[in-house]
Amino acid sequence: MSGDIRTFNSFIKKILELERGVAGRSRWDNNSKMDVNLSLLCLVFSVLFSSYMLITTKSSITIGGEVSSADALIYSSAVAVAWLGVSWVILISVIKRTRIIPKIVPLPWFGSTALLGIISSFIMLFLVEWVFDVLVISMRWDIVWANRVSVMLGPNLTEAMTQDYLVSENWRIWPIIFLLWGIVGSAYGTSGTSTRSYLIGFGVVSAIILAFAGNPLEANYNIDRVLFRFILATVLSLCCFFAMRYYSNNVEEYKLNRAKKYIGYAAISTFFLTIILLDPPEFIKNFAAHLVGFGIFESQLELITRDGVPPARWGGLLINLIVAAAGCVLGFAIGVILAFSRQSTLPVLKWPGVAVIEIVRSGPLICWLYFAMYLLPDVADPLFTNPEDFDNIVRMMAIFSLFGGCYIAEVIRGGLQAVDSGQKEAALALGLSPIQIKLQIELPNAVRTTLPSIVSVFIGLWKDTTLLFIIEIVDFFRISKTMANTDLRFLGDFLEPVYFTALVFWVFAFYLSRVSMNVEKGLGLVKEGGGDAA
Amino acid sequence: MNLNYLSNRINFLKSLQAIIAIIILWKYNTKMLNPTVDSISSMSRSYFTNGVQQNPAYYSPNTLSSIILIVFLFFLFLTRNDILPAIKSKKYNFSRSLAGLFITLIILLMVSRPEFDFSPAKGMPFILIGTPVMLTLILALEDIDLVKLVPQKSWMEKSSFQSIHPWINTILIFVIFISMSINISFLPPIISSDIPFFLSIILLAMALFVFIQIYSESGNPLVHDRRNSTMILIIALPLILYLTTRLLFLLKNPDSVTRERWDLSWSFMDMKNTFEINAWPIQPDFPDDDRWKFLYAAILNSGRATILSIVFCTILGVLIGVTRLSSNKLTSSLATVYVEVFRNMPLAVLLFLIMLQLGESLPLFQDEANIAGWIYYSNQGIFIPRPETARMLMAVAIVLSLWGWSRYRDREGVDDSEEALAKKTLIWSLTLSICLGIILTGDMSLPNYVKPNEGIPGSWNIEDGSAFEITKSFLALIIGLTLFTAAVVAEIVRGSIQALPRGQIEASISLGLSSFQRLRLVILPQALRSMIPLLNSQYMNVWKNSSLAIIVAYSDIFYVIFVMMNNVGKLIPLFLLLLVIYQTGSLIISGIMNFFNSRVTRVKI
Amino acid sequence: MRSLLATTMMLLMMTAALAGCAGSDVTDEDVDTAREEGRLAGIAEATPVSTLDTIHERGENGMMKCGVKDSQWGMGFADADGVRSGLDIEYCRAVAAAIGLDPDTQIEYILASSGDRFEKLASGEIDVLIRTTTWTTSRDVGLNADFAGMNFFDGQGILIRGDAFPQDNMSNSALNLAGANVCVGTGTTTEGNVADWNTVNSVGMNVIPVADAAEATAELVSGSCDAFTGDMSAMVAKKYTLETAGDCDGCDLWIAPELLSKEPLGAAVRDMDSDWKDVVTWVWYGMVTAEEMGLHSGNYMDADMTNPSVDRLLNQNLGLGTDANPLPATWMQNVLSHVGNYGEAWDDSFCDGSWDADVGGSDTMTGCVLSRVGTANALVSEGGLQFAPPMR
Repeated sequence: MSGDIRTFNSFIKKILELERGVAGRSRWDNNSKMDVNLSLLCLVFSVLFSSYMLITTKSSITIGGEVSSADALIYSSAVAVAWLGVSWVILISVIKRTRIIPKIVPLPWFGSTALLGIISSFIMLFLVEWVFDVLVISMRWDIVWANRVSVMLGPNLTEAMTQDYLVSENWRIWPIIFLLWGIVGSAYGTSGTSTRSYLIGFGVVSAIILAFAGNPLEANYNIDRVLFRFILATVLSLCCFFAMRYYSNNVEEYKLNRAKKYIGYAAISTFFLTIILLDPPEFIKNFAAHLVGFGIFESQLELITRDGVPPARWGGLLINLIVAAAGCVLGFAIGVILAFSRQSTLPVLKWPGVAVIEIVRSGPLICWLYFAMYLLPDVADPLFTNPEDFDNIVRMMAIFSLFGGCYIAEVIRGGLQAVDSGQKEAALALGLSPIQIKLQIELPNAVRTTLPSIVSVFIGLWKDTTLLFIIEIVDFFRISKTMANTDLRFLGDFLEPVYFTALVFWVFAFYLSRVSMNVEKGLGLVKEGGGDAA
Repeated sequence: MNLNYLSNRINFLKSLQAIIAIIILWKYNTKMLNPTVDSISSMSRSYFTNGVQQNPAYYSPNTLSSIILIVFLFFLFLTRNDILPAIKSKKYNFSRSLAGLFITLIILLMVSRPEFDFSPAKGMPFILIGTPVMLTLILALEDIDLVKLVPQKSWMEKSSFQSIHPWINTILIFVIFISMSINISFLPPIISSDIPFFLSIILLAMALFVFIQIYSESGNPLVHDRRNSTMILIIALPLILYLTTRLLFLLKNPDSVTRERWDLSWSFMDMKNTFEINAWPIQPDFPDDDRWKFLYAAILNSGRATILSIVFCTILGVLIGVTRLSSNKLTSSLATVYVEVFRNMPLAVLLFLIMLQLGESLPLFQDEANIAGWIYYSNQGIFIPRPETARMLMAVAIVLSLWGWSRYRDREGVDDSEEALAKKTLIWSLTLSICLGIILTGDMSLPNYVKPNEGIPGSWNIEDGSAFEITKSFLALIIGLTLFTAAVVAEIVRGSIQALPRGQIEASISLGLSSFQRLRLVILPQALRSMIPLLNSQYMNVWKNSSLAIIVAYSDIFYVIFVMMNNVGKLIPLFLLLLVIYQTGSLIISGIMNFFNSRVTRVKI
Repeated sequence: MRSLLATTMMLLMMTAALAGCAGSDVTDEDVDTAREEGRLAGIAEATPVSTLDTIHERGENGMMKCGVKDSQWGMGFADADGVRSGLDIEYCRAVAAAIGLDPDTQIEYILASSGDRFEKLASGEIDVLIRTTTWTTSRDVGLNADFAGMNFFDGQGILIRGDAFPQDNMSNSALNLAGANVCVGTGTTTEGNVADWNTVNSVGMNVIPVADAAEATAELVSGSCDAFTGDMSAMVAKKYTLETAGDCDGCDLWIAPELLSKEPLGAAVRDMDSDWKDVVTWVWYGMVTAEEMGLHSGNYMDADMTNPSVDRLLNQNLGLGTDANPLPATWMQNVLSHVGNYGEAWDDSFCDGSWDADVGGSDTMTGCVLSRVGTANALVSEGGLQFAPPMR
């Protein structure tokens, strides 16, 4: 009984706190019993009103007859919850906050905070209505379900998967997926995230991925096999997580730092491994052919000796990820070089560095993409023994690296200027060579200080890969734009794929920005300011 | 024993690194020099039939060599690090640089004389690539302590051999080089048949030599810097030569399409344009006007979209940034949701989404949707009344004079009290309503919805010239840019407000200022100082992001140049125009923001 | 300063001395070899390598890069599974089959938009452009493109929304489209044509440029555009697909009977690439000849080889191809087995694919969205313009 009262009291306290957060201080602050009674009254009225709205909304939607009752139920319950919020805020403001302020306005007025609360609750209602309308009622999402593979891998690989006259090349993607899942698990294992929060987050993400891959609606691939492989990847990731967690709890810090470094190297090499696996260069194919002759791992190595998928046949999300990764990885290297060049005292390094950075930053990215597509081959063709090797995707990777490199150079330059000169002088006194000073003293300091800005440049590069469709590269955005025009089953559903694209890009960018915030906190770079009281 | 093993391992790793570096440098040299040799040979071949030069890529030897050597001399000049201060202090030893200059002039003279007849296949590439190599070698020897390398002999100290010996190697190298280049067909095949091979070996040897000198770390820091610059020049030399010769070759490429692409003349812009655009203050006539006019109209289009977006996004951004710090949890979480959603959304997808959604949500034109007959909205455009120009000018003049008068009144300090604020608000609102009245009572041309043919709803339209049209693409562009940039501006505002020292806020609370006064008098003036540089880069981003108007089919600069590039094959001239226009815009925005910055930071806090 | 002067003097004297030694060692033979070398180099630069040889040298066994469209049903289309269909795609496959490649695995389809297709062709990114491209003088002359005949006779038509411009009230004519917002793709001949037609007939349309056909469909469906103009085949395909998908209720689409212009579509290759252009041209004429002779994918094996023209068509390469890569003698048999004759290609693209050539002519094709009967695209024997020069 006392337990119930305690939970009830804590419940009341939470409600009162919420009210104060939304509407400001109550008139009955002094009289707590009256306060509590009024709160309960408002709550009850709101619940009644929202149930009324639930019933009316549901009946008004099902009149049309096009919407299934499950969808109508979801929509109406969401709208009802929103109406609960609105009515509750209005009642609270009117009942608890109104007072007469004779000096300025001779009418009862509930204060600007409560007014803000009411306006925001109406905005929230509008947003909830619109979001759920988009999700459940007016949009037909079948087109997205039907084109899942095409949007991820591009039309050529999809054709290889579905048609018999071509060999399916999707087996090249799975090792990369396993590797990535493993690296993600290990990285979180060595980091400071608590097991519970990681499991919740990872569980939600895995559930979404499994639901997305496993929905049998309009699937043109073997659902069971794909689901099995994704479950395997999830299990692998969890094993890596727990293994690394155990390791990091039982070992000295220097070993842990070394392990983190190795995980970093593994992550970077994943990028190169993806490219090699998708299109193995000649010497690897010959090497694998020799090994097959020896009879080791015959079936797997035999796969590598086959013709690879040239970059011109890649498509979909794969291209966006690879081009963004190239921009980030190679761009970081180029950015470091340019930053040091711009900062050096040697004119032969400084002026070319300044010229390159200023010219590249003066134009919008679209302009440089166009340049890389049509003008760069003219300049760079003699350098390739086979000019056809310099195809679209390679050009895009090159120009994204250059563009990202210039922005990262500016960021790192700011960080380099902030390095304490005492450190550099001490290093000089110790006899380190200039290159050693740069790489081991200045660069780590600069990167640590400017890591959030660097990550925001990475996020910008990821978002900018959506511009590839302008030069007719078949990336994720282009496929979803033209899906509605070419998929004869769902002609005319233009908006749904674009919403889906926006969601996918947003999720990746949001995740990166969360990671950046956590890293920032971990490195101790967050400053407490006075703004909260403002 | 352990240490031995460790040092052995280090030595092994170092030697491995050295071998890999040598291999990479070798491959890089040959890869760059081979195409250079090919370009130079194709540019120096000349054969006439009937008095017409048959090689389109022909450059006269004078032009070719002077361009290549001048470019190289410029880079050489860059490696002489301390040349400018040394000139000022008159202590610089010019002789080597002058010697280099002389040698270049002699080579230039030699190349143009017919007696020396350098063959296109071997002689010209050798001399044109060899001269930079030779000059680098001569100047690299400046810092090499050759004296220490040569064992001291007594007769050397006594004679005046010492005073001229720095020049002996210069002259020796020059003479050897000239004789090689003149008699190149007589040289052993290993040199004359594969020139890049030979020159790469020399470059590699020079690189090793200079590297050993750098590694020995002898001499003062000035010498160190010179050696480093020389090393960088040696490594960059093949790239510089390749780029120069390649660009020269592209300008006069035998393939006519490539030559069109790289042809640096803007005469095609004076011809008539071949497509139509939709522009506002200046609407070019298709097909009568030339391309410059179309480009000018497109620049105005981009400009007005950018300015409007900047104004709106600043207002919205400040609003949301301040709201995010509000005490009302609901409001602040809504603002947070807005910022998180729009900051991580790619702009291209957002613009496309808005364009499609506007097309779906706005009513059809034949539904005659309007607001009180004044504003007609449909998915073919929004039509607002067009006020009379004279009245608009009168209103603008009144507002400007009021602003000037208030600045004059406040010349000795702004009156911040509540009564003054109320009076100012009253005066400004009165003036604005008077202006509005002037505009509205004037001869406003309302949109005139005419129906020429009742049975054909498509022919109903707004009469030409009666209303001011806002096209759907312009609306989509403004909304997209505003929403996207406002999220970033909100973050900037929030960051700069939160970076204020806590003491200021607490002091203002204890002084009894209301929250609005706090914002106006304490927070925003100080936050503005730190915001302006960040806002500067955001506004430049808005200007550059306006190039995405091609997604919504709005005729901006990039769209017009893109279509021109496809109609006329002249890619480089148009590309240069594009870069120049965007850079100018960025500089203008930067200049205005720097002006604001200097005004705001006049007082030191 | 003195050392400087001394150095300069020494250099000049050395140079003069060497100069004297120089010129006399160059013999006549050297000069002749140099001149011949230069001449040959010049010729080599002027005659580019034939695209046919480049195709065979790519990859392991050769790879052909075809510039196509992916969004026009009937001409160049790629569905959700990535399977391509359409008359242009069939033509592309026929060319690949003719030169000895496997059309299923050795063709790389590269999307060429109306904005950059000629750029892609000129820069060498695609070998042949078969993408509903109209043959015009300015393109032939100015854009480094050569057209390999006309393979589809089309015109420009207008697809109109009936709720904005009802067919009956317009007296079934596009001349009354005053005040209509007409969408057109940028960079196409249709843009110029519709502007000309607008001016000449004083129609009073508003021409609105859009980036590509997909966007134009979106605008048409949502109502921002009242009409859409393009090749008539594209209009028919668009109307058919929109009506089948049922997504534009109330649109009431109809196609105006006026043809705004002539649009003969053809394949394009680069200038000065005559061997390759000959191959591309004669593959099409081979398909038409096969239909004229009554040969199709089902009966070419049992054809009467004693008939000299049949023998020439099926068993000789007639000199097509380059010296390094001549066409196989049975090139037409490869084309027929992989693609079929002209009628079969048409049937697979525009009709339901069930036509049996032995039964009858074009009028026996069933399920046709666009029929050949009575149009310019029928064979000359059926009253159209598809006519092949003699293959001998």
